[in-house]
Amino acid sequence: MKGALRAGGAIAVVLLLWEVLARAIDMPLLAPPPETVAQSALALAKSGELLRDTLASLQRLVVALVVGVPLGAMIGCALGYWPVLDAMASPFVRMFNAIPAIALVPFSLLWFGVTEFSRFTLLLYTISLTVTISARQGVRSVPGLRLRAGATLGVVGVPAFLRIILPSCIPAIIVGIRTAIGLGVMVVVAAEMLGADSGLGYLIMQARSQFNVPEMAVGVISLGLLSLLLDRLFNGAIESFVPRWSVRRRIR
Amino acid sequence: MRTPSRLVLSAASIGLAIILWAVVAAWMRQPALLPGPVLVGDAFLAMLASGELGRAVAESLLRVLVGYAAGAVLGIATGIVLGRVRLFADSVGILFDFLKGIPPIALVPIVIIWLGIGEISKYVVIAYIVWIVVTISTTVGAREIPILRLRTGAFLGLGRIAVFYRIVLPSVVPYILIGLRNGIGFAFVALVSAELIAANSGIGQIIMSARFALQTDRMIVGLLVLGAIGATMQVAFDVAVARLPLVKRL
Repeated sequence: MKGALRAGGAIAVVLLLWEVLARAIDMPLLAPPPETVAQSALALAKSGELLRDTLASLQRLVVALVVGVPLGAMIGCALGYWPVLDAMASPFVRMFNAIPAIALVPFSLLWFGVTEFSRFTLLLYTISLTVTISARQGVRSVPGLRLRAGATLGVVGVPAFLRIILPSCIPAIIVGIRTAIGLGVMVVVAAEMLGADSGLGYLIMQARSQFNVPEMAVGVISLGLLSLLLDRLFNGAIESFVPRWSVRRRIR
Repeated sequence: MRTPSRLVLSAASIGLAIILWAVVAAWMRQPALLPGPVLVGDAFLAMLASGELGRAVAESLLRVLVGYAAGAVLGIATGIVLGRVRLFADSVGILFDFLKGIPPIALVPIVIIWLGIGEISKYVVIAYIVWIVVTISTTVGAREIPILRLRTGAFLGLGRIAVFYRIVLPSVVPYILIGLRNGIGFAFVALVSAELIAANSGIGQIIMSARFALQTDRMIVGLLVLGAIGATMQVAFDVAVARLPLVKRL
């Protein structure tokens, strides 16, 4: 409660600073004060554009997460489990991990055009790569003692994988999903900005072509709120449904 | 059967992938969509010879370095202040989580309107995201300094300034390093974002202009060079950190 109050205070201070700064600059077209942005947000909300674009971005993200997380977890577990496979895949995993996914937007546009499929492929790639890396790390850091203890009790092979390795690497996979959500927002926005007809990235680009700074600000703020909300929802879901895997004090 | 070493397997798999790439490209026969490795290699050599690639790399690298350095310094300072002053530590967390959620690419159009299409707006976008990332992890570090250490310092008669230099700073360093390490990746995301939207020079511009000209071989060269620079910077950072004396790693 106290925390919420303080956070509210911080937000109020920032809004106040913004107001003062906007008045000092006194160029409402370039640096709109908060109330202008709020009016703009209201207008966009009333016309339904804001909701439509937010839902479009959200839908893309969720669909890609639903497909990409299990895919990445499977690939990551396989890489962590079989050293030969890992050695063969690791140059590519490293290479693609070093390339920002945003740089692939032009490729997805080239190969798949301005289609829903092109955005989906790009998101799927980003999410499954992120989850692959963390799942692989999770499998590799399963304590050897646990495996040996299992072996002593006769748990080897597939049961060992299901009952020892998989539960041990779930925390790592959860961290991976959280990272993937953040990266996913970045990539979906990039894809929408460089070629789409809906979504928050599209909203920002539309506003840009009309030099409408308040609408651009609405898009940017909605994006921040969307990813904050997704992050908190995901964390909350982990903490309330599977508290054994929640990591409260994790370094972000 | 003895398993061959990792290195051999990795090399074999890279070789296999290149052969596969060549076969698929030869079978597709559409160099505008998927040029083979030979075409990409030729494009690379031509771009290297004309000096175009070197210029673009130098430009992009300069942007990353300037933006990153500014963002890192600001982030460390902000993070320590936010973490050590109770009032801030309790109140601004959510603000930074919100800011972190804003993709740098979404800021590019606004920053361009404010600062123009030149270098400054690229520095600002890169510095901004690095600032956020470094601030967040430094704040955590500055907040979580074991109270025992601070009390021991006070007990041994260290003044406030001495406590800061000899206890606070060394305790935060591992967290700063985490932030700086993450910041490299984010800096490259911001760089590419800025160069794709405000394409006037750099590696991102090579990718973007080659896309419109359907010179896919040049696009792939840009992409690979970008990955190589990013990976080199991360490895260099890890090596440099490993050589730092007396840094306790997390």
